[in-house]
Amino acid sequence: MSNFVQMYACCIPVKGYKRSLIYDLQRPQNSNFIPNDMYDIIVDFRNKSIEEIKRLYQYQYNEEIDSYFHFLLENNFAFVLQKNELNNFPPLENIWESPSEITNSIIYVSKKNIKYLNLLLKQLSDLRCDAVQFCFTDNITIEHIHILGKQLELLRILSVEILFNYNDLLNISDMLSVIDKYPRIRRVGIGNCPQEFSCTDKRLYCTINQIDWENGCGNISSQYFSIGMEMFFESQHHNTCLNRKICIDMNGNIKNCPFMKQSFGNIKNTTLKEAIVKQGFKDFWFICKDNIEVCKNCEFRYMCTDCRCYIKQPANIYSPPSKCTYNPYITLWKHQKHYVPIEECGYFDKSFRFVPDYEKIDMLNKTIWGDKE
Amino acid sequence: MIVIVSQENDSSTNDVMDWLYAWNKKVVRINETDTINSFSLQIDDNDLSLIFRCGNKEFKISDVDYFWFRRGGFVFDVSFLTKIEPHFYTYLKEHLSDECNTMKDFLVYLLNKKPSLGNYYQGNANKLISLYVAQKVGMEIPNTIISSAKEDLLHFYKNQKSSITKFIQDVLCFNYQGYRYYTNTSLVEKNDIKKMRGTFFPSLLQKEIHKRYELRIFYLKGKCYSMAIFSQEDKQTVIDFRNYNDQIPNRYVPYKLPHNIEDKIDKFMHKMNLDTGSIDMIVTPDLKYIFLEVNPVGQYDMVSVPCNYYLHKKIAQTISNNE
Ligand code: SF4
Ligand code: SF4
Repeated sequence: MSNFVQMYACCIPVKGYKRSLIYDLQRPQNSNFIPNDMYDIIVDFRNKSIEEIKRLYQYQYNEEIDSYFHFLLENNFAFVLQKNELNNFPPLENIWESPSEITNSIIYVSKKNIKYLNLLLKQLSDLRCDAVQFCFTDNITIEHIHILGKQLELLRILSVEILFNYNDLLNISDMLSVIDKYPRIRRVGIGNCPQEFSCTDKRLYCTINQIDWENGCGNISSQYFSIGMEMFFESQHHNTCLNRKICIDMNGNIKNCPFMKQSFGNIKNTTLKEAIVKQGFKDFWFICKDNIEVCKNCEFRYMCTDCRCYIKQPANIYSPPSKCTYNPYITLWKHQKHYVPIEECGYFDKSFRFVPDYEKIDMLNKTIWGDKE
Repeated sequence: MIVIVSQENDSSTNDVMDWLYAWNKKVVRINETDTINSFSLQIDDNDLSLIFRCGNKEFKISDVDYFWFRRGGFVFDVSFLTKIEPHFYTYLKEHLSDECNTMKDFLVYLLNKKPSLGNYYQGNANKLISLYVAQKVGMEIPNTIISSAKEDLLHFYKNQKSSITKFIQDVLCFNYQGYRYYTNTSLVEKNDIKKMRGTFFPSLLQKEIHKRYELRIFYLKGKCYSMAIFSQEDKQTVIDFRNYNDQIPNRYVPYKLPHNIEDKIDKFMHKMNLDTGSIDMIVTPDLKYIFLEVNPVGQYDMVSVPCNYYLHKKIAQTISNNE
């Protein structure tokens, strides 16, 4: 028998240090971990028949190979094809492009700069920005939100998220009517609420925790992972947080990230368009996960949002995010048993590069996972 | 300036326009809902000048660099007619819409002299002509009969073994008293035909084609961007691994057609006078390519997005000569 099995183009295996992960870009929840051996077989022998693969392994691993292909077919990652179809199924082209100069934005709105809100909206719209997150650091009223919602209907901005801390001037039923009325207000998040509440479609969520405007950003957690075409391909060319992003911090400064020091002018006297073309504004846009220490060995690297503001070794811009609680060398999260931080799996050298200690990692994996030689 | 004729709710037009704006192109988009309320045309011995206005949208024919007919059409404003007596209304309305058609045809005639994409008069390609032309350029098509005689259908059925029936051109779809009615493609049993009267409204039967997968091909000025759709019905037979999940959802993946099929599609499109459109095909278990139909104004998002083809950008490049 000469069976050929090929991965669907939308099911892409990504290799990590210790295991691989098949990203199912069409059905994210179907994504699944696979051993690195399986990754090698999929990638190295793409156009070989199962028979031939077995032969190349000198018929030593027939059962394993069969079970791998069973797994791929059963999970609908792959399909069986005939020999003369092998050239009909090209992979997805690894490109990401956007007609928008800016695709996303975080705007801090305080009493001081609320008067610039309309101007900012107009400028973001002209840059063809898709998504904006507004953080209202001072009390806001329902009128503010109505004005914003109405304004949006005339603009290119497609989706808006509003965050603020609860105050007495607001009530939840008003908020529900707001999200009903303005479909472009995709999400309203309210902190410091008297009680927890969130509506079924999650467009309104209220938490009793105060929103922390100073330190809340930059967290890395599996709940922020996102598997999809856009993210997968953008992340291979660009930074998944900062690419095509423009932000306004609490003082009205125009920045790539609201928490970084570097400012490119103030909304009082600089337009967003002027800020973007200034030297250095786009520096972080092109730092992708494949360049980042540790992350480049992580199987989550094309679904993980990067952070370039809070990093382990500030002297090296390719240093991994400091708020990451995952260790790809032993595939454990901080909250899991046996977790140790990456610092115990290697060290940062003089130029702040991470040097894995392979022997130590092997040892750890033997104790944790019972790995064999 | 680029003139686009489209419909208000067509989001793929928006996506193409984003690219045009990114390249600072001047664009006027006329939607079907934009009724034309001002039109000025002057022809004299030396020259022709035409100014077209609807609402705040305006273009001079001499300024047009490219014409993209996406879908929809030009609609002239004859709403002022309602104020007149019903008897006059009927005649005048017909007369005025003929007059409008003459102006519209001339407008399209002039626009078509510009570099253009899309065929204004082929928004809904005749399905029978398409089948005929496809067969003429050497593509395989499903055997098809349209007849009003029971005997003919029975005879056809006997030869084809398994047949389906479907609309000849378009799907019928409407709501009535809270129910939704629509025509479907469905399998025909011999008894279904037997139950019919001797003669009836011409009905279409087509040989049932077994599919390995379907193809959706977006054709743009000589290039084919193809996608294979693996659907749930696809029961693999040639394999050892038999017992996998039946509830699998469709898979949409990029597909590269063999050159000879691409050539035939190219010939077909030329003969149909189309420079763009979406083509449906079936690939059979023995790897034959069967042509089904072409939709000149079909949605290409469903091909572009899963295949990462960036068709919006490619269309934008085509219509702005920015290749
Ligand atoms: S770089 Fe970090 S801190 Fe800055 S916006 Fe991104 S995640 Fe937040
Ligand atoms: S190491 Fe952490 S930050 Fe880096 S890709 Fe993996 S999960 Fe994300």
